Formats: sequence, C-alpha cells, structure tokens
Amino acid sequence: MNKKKSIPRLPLKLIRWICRECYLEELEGDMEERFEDNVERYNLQKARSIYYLDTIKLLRPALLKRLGGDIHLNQYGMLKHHLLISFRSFLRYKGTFLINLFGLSSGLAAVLFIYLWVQDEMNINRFNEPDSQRHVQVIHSYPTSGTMYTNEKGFTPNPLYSTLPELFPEIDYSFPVKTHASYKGVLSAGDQHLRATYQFAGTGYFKVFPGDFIHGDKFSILEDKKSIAISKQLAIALFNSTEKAMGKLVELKDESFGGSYEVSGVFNPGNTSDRFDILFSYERFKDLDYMQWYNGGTQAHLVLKEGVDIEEFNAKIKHFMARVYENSKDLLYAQPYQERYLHGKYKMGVPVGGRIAYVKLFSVIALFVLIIACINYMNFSTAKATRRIKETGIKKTIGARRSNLIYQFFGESMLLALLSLLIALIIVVSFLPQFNHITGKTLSIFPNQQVVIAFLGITIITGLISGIYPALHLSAFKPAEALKGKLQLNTNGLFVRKSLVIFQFAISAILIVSVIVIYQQVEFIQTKNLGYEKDHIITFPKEGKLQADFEPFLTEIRKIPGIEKASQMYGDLPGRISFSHGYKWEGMEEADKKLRFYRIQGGYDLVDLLGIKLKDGRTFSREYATDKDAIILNQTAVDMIGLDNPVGRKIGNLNPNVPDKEIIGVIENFHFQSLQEEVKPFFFSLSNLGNHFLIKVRAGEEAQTIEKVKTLYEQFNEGYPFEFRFLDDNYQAIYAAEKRITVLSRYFATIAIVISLLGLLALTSFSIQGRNKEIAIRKILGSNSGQLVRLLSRDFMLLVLIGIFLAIPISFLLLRSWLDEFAYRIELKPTYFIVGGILMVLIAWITILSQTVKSANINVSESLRTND
Amino acid sequence: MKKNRLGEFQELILMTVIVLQDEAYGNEIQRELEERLDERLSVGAIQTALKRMEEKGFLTSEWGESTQKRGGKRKRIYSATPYAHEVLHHMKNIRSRLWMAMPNPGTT
Repeated sequence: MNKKKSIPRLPLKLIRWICRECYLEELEGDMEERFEDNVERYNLQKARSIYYLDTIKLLRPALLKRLGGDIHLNQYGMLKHHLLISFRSFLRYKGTFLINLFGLSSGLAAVLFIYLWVQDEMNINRFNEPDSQRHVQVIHSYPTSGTMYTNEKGFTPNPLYSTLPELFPEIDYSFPVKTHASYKGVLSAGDQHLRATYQFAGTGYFKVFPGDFIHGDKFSILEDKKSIAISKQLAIALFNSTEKAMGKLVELKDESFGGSYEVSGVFNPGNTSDRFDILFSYERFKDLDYMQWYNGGTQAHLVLKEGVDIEEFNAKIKHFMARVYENSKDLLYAQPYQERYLHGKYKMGVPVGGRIAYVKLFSVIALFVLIIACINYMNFSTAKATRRIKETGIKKTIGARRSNLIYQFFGESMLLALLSLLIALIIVVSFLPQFNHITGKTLSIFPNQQVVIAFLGITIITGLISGIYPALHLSAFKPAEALKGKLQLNTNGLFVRKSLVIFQFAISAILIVSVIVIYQQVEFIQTKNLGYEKDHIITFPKEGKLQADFEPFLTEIRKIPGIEKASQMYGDLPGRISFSHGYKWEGMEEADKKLRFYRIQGGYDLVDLLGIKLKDGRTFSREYATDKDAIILNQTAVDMIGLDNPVGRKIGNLNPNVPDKEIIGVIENFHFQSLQEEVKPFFFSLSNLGNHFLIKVRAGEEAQTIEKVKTLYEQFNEGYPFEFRFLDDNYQAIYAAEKRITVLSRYFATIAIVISLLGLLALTSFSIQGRNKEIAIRKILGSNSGQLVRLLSRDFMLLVLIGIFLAIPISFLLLRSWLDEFAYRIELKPTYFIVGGILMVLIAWITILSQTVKSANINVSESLRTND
Repeated sequence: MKKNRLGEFQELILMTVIVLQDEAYGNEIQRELEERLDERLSVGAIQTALKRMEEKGFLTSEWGESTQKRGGKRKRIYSATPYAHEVLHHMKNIRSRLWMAMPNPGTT
C-alpha cells in the first residue's frame, strides 16, 4: 500500500489522460515495474524523479491518443449504416416517404417564400447611413369630427421642423422633406415629355437617407435651387443615357414649380417606400412662401443626439402644439423612421400597428403549414415504430447506446429535411415569378448569405422538430421486450398521435373558414353598391393649357360618338378627396365648428356622370347663374347638420369673405373613400379648377373611343403625355392588400389541408393494416361491410370532429378582429363556420373511407392464412 | 529494401527481442539494452520503437502474465516475425560486404 502511494500521482494521471487507451495497461505496468526497480536500486526520491522524467519522455506521437479519438472508424461505419438504413426504409415504405417528402417540401417552400417576403418587408427603409439609427420623424395628430386624426404620411405644419431644434436640446439637427407624389408634373427635354413625381429635401437628408448617385454630388444638389437630380430611369428615357443627362437643361411643367432646371445629378432609386423621380432642394419649396404655422405638408425629420431616450423626448414634445396655438389639443409623436413602414397606423397619435400585422399573420400561417408537415412525419414514424422495433432491439443488444439510436432517428429526419429542402428550392425558384406577381415585389432567392444561412437553419430546425418525438420515443424501448414483441406501443404513442391529428385538423379548419370569410368579404367589397358608377369611366390629369381653357376640349370630346359624358373634377376617386372645415349653419353647436366636410369641386355633369342618385332637390344646371355658389349635400351631411328641409337653406362660412352656399339638392351616400372608412359628411360644388378629367365611355367600344380621345388630347395639349386610368382600376388598387391575402391564404390553406389529408390517409391505412385479422374474424362472425366501415372510421372521424370544434371559436375571434378593420363588412354568419366545418368533415371522411372500404372488402381466408 | 528500413536503435531493440525470447517485454528489453549499451534509456524511447516496428510488421505481441510488481498489469511479450529475421540478415550482409570493401579495415 505504501509503495503504491509513493508513485507520483500527477504523471500517472497525465499518462492515463493523454496516452492511447490500448497501450495504457502495458505502459503503466512497465512504468510501475521500473519504478519499483529504481526504488530498490537507488532510493524513493530518485525513483520518483526518474518517473517524472520518463513520463515526459513518454509524450511521443506514436504513443499519444489520436486527434478525434481512436473510435473514428467505428463512428464512420455507424454513419454509413444509418444512411443505408434510412434509404432502405425510404424505399421500403415508398408511400409514407413520398407523403413526408411532399409535405415537408411544400411546408418548407411555404416558409421560404414567406421568409423572403418578410425579410424584404423588414428591410424596407432600413438604411445604413451615418445617422440613420438616430433618425426620427414627427407624426402630427389633431382632433376632428370627434376623433383624433393622424396624418399617416407624416405631414406637419411647415415651420415645425425648424422650430423644434431651437427649443429641444435633445435634437442634433433637423431637416424638412416635402413629398409631391400625389401630383405629377411633366418633365420635358426636346420633344420627350414624361410624367414624374418629385420630392424636396433639406440639407442633412443624405446623412440618413441613402443616395446612390451615379453622377453628380448629392450634397450640393440640396443647396442649389436651380438644379435637380433625376432618377436613372428618367435620365435614360429622356436622354438615352445617364451620362448625357448631366448638365442638360430640362423644362418642368407644373403649377408651382415650373421652370427650367439644370440636371446636376442622376441617382438610382433604392429600397424605399417613397419613390420619386426628381429631387429638388427644399429651398425651391420655400420660395412659395408657405412657411406659416397654418401651412402644412412638410415632413419634420429629426436626428436626435446620441443616447437620447426617445420616450422621454416624446413626453416633452407631445403637447408642443399648445405653445403655438392656445388650447391646442394636437399631439406630436417622434417615431424612429425605420419603424414607420411596418408600424404605420396610429390611434390617439401613437403607432398601433400597420403592415406588421400582415407580416405576423403570414409568418404564423407559414409556420403552421410547416408544423403540420412535421406532425405527419412524427405520426408516421411512431406509427411505423412496430415495424422497426426489432431493428432497435437488435441494435441495443449488440451494444448500441441510446444516444446512438437518437442520432440515428435524428439523422433520418435530417436527411429527409435536406431532401425536402432541395425540392423546396426547386419549387421556390420555379414559382418565384408568380409569387412576386401576387405580392408586388421583386424578390430573388440568390442574393445574400443571410438567405442561405436562414434556409439551412430553417431546414435543420424542421429536421429536429420532426425527429424529436420519434428519436426520444423509439430509442427508449427495452431491448428484451422489443425483441419478444411484447411492447404495447400504442398505449404510449397513441395519445400524442391523437393530439397531433386534432391539432392538424384544427389548423386546417381554421384556414378553411378563414378562406371562406376572407373571400366573402373581398367579394362584398368588389360587388358592393358604392353609390356611384365606376365602370367604363376613364380619368386623366387636367394640366397644361387645358388647366384653364378646357371647355373647347370637352365640347370636342362630347362630339365623339362613343362618349356618353365628359366632365372634370378636383381630386381622384376613391380616396383622394379634399376636405375643409369652418362652416356655419342655423342651430350649429360649438363643437360643430371642427366638423369636417369632404368635397368634390367640379363640372356641371359630374353628379350625373358618376351615376349618383338624387334624393331631393336638383343637380347643378347652367340655367341658374347662382349655382356657382350652390352645393349638393350627401345624406350624412344632412344628418350631421340636423336640418329637416335642407333644400333651399344656406350654409355660411366662418370666414366672412366667403359667400354663403345654397343647398340645392341632397344625394344618397356614396363611398368616395375606401370601404374601411365610414361615409363622411360631403358636398359637391362647381369649380373650373379641377385637376382630373372624367370621361364616361360607352361599354363595348372603349378601345376605339379612347384612341380618339388620345388624338384629340394631343392636339389640344401639346407637350403632355396622355396617360389615362380606369376608375375601376383605381378602386381595385386600394384593395391590393386584401386581394393579396385572398390569393395567398387560398394557396396556403390548400397546401395545409392537402398535407393534413395525406397524413390522415396514411395513418388510417396504417392503423387498419394492423387490424386485418380482427376485420376478418368480425366478417366471419357476420359483420357486414357497412358496420365494418363505420367501426374503422369512427376513431379518426372523432379526432377530425374535435379538431373542427376547437377551430370554430378560434377562427371566430381571429376573423372578427380582421373584419373590424372594415367600416363596411359582412357579418360573421354561422353558415360560414357550418359550411367550413362540413366541408372539412366531408373531405376527411372521403379520405378515411377510401381506406376503410378497401379493407372491409378483404378476402377473409387470405387475410387469416397469412401470418402477418 | 527501400521501404520499412530499420533505424539503428530499432535494429538494436529488434535483436534484443530475439535474444530475450519469451522474456521480451518492455522493461526486460530496456534492462538488457541499458546493460549492453551502458546508457540510461527512457520507457518512451523503447515503447515508441516497439510500436513503430509492430506497425511495420517486424514484431508481433501478445499479453503475458501479470506480476505484483507491475501493480497487477499484464506484460506485453514481443516476438520477431520471419520478415524481421530476413531484414536483419539482409542488413548484416550489407554491413559485412561493406566491411570487406573498406580499404583499411581497422580494429577498435
């Protein structure tokens, strides 16, 4: 004992740790024997020091453990074996393999599509300029018609941007931006005339916004009033090349900013939500002398100092407008610019969501599709377990550890996930153009390594999720019981399997009901009686010479045979309708001062042209000279004012210089805004200052008639391109988001349901196979096919029904919150849920039936004879 | 004979293994050689040479008895393969031919 202890322990530990295991006994033995010899020959002290020395000399490559361990070869064999077994099981159970592959690859494709879309949405307006991170925009809200109205475009009183930095030390600097996207001027060079949108920006703009300038210095453009920068597309269209555009003089036709400018820059528009073709210095806008507090429309962009707490800053500026106007209830809110795109809806002056809702919605749907596919995989592997239980048993007997088996099952699911990724990539690449068409984007799959990493990550997670249950469940069997076939698998796996099937069908039912309701709502919007006719009406800008002198043109137009009516108006239907307040009438209350009236000012025939129904009084007529100060109210306005006999009464103005207006008629409400808005108080009045022509064309001869209008237009208005739109297209455009959901939800729902059904199909067929003998015996004892089918279908139908019942309340809540966004919406009738539920039951039932009927008609003697 | 050439030290150990016969295990080889060379050797040097030669096919080995002195660990007994004998002879021939070819065979 004593001797043993005298062997130095540290070197011994080192030997054991570092030397190759198979040499260890010999080496240790030799060292020990030699140590004993040395103790006898010299003394303990010396023997110990020799031992130390020898230990160090043992550290030679030939004796040390190899990097990566000695069992390397063994591991490789195992891996090869796993791969082989996986492929064999794929080949052997082709049906389940194909269903899994189809499910996982379409699930993955769905996720990949949505990932690309979400990533693109998240990157919009995220810039990497020096000060982009500190960039906030001031959002202005003010009370009107009893609610708090927020200007979502970020328009603020014009002097705000320059006043705030003087009063708040948190602000590093500020700059103004004025977008002019709603009205397009015409830019001319030589005989090329193109319509263009423009933007005015102040100094500081390029410290937060990117400016991809192909030619010219972006900073100096913002200083110089007489020079502009134009987009690459515009430069190529006007001058055939970006280089030739530089230094050229161009002529802009526009009411306020017309004139000739020098092109001193050409830029590439980037990934921003605000597109524009021409960039001006804000100094040019200042020339108009619209810099009073009551002038609005300029965006106030601030760059905060490093480390400023935005919430504290917001608390300070919230009621700033009360310093400008006494008792002002206006609210200001500084929102980080990068969040504006996704969080662009406001309530009480504070952001409450926006596009982020769709981003979340589709992420969740895609995730569910993938989960449904993963569930199929889990269910199949546990259901198949009896077939592979012997394999597991034998492996364990030979000496496989549980971890080996876990690796095996994970390996198998991972392999399938990778195969699915390949197919998913093929799907994504081939359907990307269609997807881009639906979403209105230009997504591409190959651009960056972020996408590659994300795709691989998603695939690996898919493999792990699918594999986790089989891996943990199947690897846990005791080998003896597994080999004897004593295991009652079903008691354990059945509960989980059942819950998973319920989950799948709950999701599928939610999707089916949602598709029905979304479709109904969108259909409702499309076909709803808007109160005006939007078909066969074309609209185009009223500009140039025609701006003032348009009557001869309209007279000529009306002579064209295919034209029914022609007129002009200010604004654009639906949505771009201006409003004003400050009216007074008999019996008005104090709060009514702020009542906002929307209005369309235009030509005599406008009410008729739009097919709006008159309830009372008359429409405008050239016979009454007084009609230039007359108005026609809508029903909502009449209700708001509270007059019993409105026709003939007068509406005054708080401004004494404005003449009173006589009410000559009342029209029925029509939807001049999107259906997400209630119909607001409104009136028509006469004006020659419209900015759009409206022309109603006889149905069936649109093409020829429009061609004639075009010829006429070009005669009358040289130098302006004729670009028309159908009013109906305008209307459709504002529902682009809803249409997108209809189409996408339909696709996703179909995929999810098909995957679920395939899963159900395979599960039924599997569970029936195990009961072949039972069926045969029941048949012998006198059961008929009908009874057998019922018996076999019952279990699964029950699961489907439970799933559907769970789905109903959830889908009800989801859809109600979606419909809440629409002021005019369908009611959530029970029919939708019943139809959706019955549809789901029906297809599930047919699926199950296809399997049960087959096995209810089996050959009894054959089934009993085989020992399967 | 290009491949699997024996180093000088390896050759010495190989010959010692043959000399020691059934007693040819690590420590015994070491003792024998230390005595003959009159020089202290390390376990590592001996073992490395043994393992290398086993890998190259000059030696085979099997477990032997265990002793108290070894803390109950078994010895590993090495023996030379016929191939080793062949190589040894071959090298001896080369040497003696070289000796004979030398002009003034001196003695030490």
